[in-house]
Amino acid sequence: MKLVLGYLYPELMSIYADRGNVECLRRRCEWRGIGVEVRAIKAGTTFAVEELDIMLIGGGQDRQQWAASEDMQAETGDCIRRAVEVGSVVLGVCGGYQLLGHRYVDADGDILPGLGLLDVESRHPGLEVKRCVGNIAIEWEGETLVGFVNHGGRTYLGSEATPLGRVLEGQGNNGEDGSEGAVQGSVIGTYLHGSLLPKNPHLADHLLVLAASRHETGYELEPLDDAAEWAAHAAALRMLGVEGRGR
Amino acid sequence: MGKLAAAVVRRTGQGGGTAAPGLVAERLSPAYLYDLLAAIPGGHALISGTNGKTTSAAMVGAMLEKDGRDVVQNRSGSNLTRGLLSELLGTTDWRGRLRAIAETAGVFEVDEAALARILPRTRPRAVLLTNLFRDQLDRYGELDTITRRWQAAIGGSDGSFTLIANADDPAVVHAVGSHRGETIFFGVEDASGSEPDDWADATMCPICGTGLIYDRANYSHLGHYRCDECGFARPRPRIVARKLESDGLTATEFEVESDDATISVRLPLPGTYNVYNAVGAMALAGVMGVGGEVMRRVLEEFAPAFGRAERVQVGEREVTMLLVKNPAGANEVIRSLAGLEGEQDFLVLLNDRVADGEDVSWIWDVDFSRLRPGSLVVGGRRASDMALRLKYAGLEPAEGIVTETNLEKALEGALATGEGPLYVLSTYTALLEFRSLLVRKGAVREFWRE
Repeated sequence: MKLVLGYLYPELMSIYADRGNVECLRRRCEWRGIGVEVRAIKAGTTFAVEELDIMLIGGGQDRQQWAASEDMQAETGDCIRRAVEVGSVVLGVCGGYQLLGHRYVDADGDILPGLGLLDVESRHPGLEVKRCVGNIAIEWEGETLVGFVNHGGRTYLGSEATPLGRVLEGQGNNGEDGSEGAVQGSVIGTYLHGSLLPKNPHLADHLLVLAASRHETGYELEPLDDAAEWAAHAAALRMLGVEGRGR
Repeated sequence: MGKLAAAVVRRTGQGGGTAAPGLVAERLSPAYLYDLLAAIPGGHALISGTNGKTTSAAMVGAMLEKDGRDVVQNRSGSNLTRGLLSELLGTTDWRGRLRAIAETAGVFEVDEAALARILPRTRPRAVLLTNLFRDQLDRYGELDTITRRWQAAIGGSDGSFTLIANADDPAVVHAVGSHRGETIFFGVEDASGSEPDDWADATMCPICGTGLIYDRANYSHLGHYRCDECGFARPRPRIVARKLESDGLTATEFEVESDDATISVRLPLPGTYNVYNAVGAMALAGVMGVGGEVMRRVLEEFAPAFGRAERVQVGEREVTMLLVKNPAGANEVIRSLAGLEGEQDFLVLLNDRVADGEDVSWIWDVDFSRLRPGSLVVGGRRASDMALRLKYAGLEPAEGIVTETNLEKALEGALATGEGPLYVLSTYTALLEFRSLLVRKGAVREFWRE
């Protein structure tokens, strides 16, 4: 089997060490002997609907986020939406998460349209309101996810999206309802970086299983020695005083 | 009052006491710093930017001293207003007035976020702006935010100072466009540069947002760029370094060319980034009236600043300390290390205190895969994050990656493996801890007493 990873807008949206997520998925395929290819999908690039198994999009600075939003309304955005219709897996982090939603309303009230793949809307409450910054742990599928968040915008979920997890410690989607991230079909959005996937190998493998099952139903991943991954996960939990797995 | 605090803090040995007295004095009188700066008879210069502040400031200070001037400067790298004030308090008399002779000049490195607050309240002779990279997003915010603040502070000033700016950094050039006074650009003309790799920070045109075209990238996004859309381009620098030749981590040779002279320098520091520091320092010292021959002698005898490829002997081992604090700087350090022969022994220390950046995700933007470790020990508060990063970089030393959060044990472990030089890559507060460990072991003096 061979999986193709699309690294969306690497020139615009990779501010929070988002390449760590790409690197993590690539290595975890290689270590298992699964063929893997990473394709950079820059603004203005088109691709075939079946081409990408996983698409990753990270965070960007304000100006870069504007450029990405604009490009999403053209051909590249159409390609991404069509790929999701045929089951391509998407992970959006921070600004990438916001742009997977319907729109992002910035501090001046200007609207950046998103891809509309998640039924969420993000709004900046104004520059006088404190950003959400700090370490975070959330509960996800009976396990923990750890990371760091740094965002001004607050995200609110509509009825089609479900939260990725419940905040155990730190600030989630909006600091109000205790939710963090959003899931809708094969699309996942979250504010957690750190990088996210290396320290959360169970989430990384979840994405790989979703992607692999496009090629082979019931595909099972070969287990890896994840001692270093869980040591970093456990250290992050300890720092926050949260109970959880630290194998 | 501040002087009393300085004496107390230094005597009780609290981390060098570099900023605490200033903090006390600042609370008592916020204008005091600006009164003292204005009272320096030979004027003062400010140095700011993401990377290279401490080294550039040390170079300029040494050049002025060699030229016979008394110099007051914040050598410890404590670069917020309270750090500057602490340093100036050390030169005041019992009445709190500056004790300075006519030739005294001030050289201060200033935190890039603090510059916008300090600049409107003081009248420096010159301001040197080194570069702008992504650094500690949790503390500084985005690159664009800093650029905008610089623009406002520079545009809002009367332009009475000479601005010395890095022509090769599009973000810096954009920020200084509003300056009303003289601007001297410096740059690097022919490093063995290439296309900027995808590890670079800012390759969008700061004016119109189009992707910049690079003829050459010397170091991250520093290089020879232009925007074909709106015409924004690298200004022609008045002072340039050419013919760079690297001698491992030991030295870099280059020529510096300005309007009136060409000077050959053998700088005992590694990397293109230190050539930028040297050329910027020369441009600034020139404005302060230092001659070329004095500059050359100072650079050739230059001892590295705190943790900037600083070498010490620990027992049988030579230990080189390399401060890493953001992706751009760390990638340059790694580029120098990648140029060494064979395998090296490494101790890598990662902390997440405020001064290091509480968000450690930046390590995933550093290309550690270019290292060739014979042995590899990781330490610091976030040792397990670093161990994970190095695992995914594909580093597989014979005995594996050893994680040890206890600093003393980490050092012992690293010293016990291998016999050649040991390279210590460390974030700021971990390096402070590491250095005080070496002080206890008698290997090195406390840096604020040097």
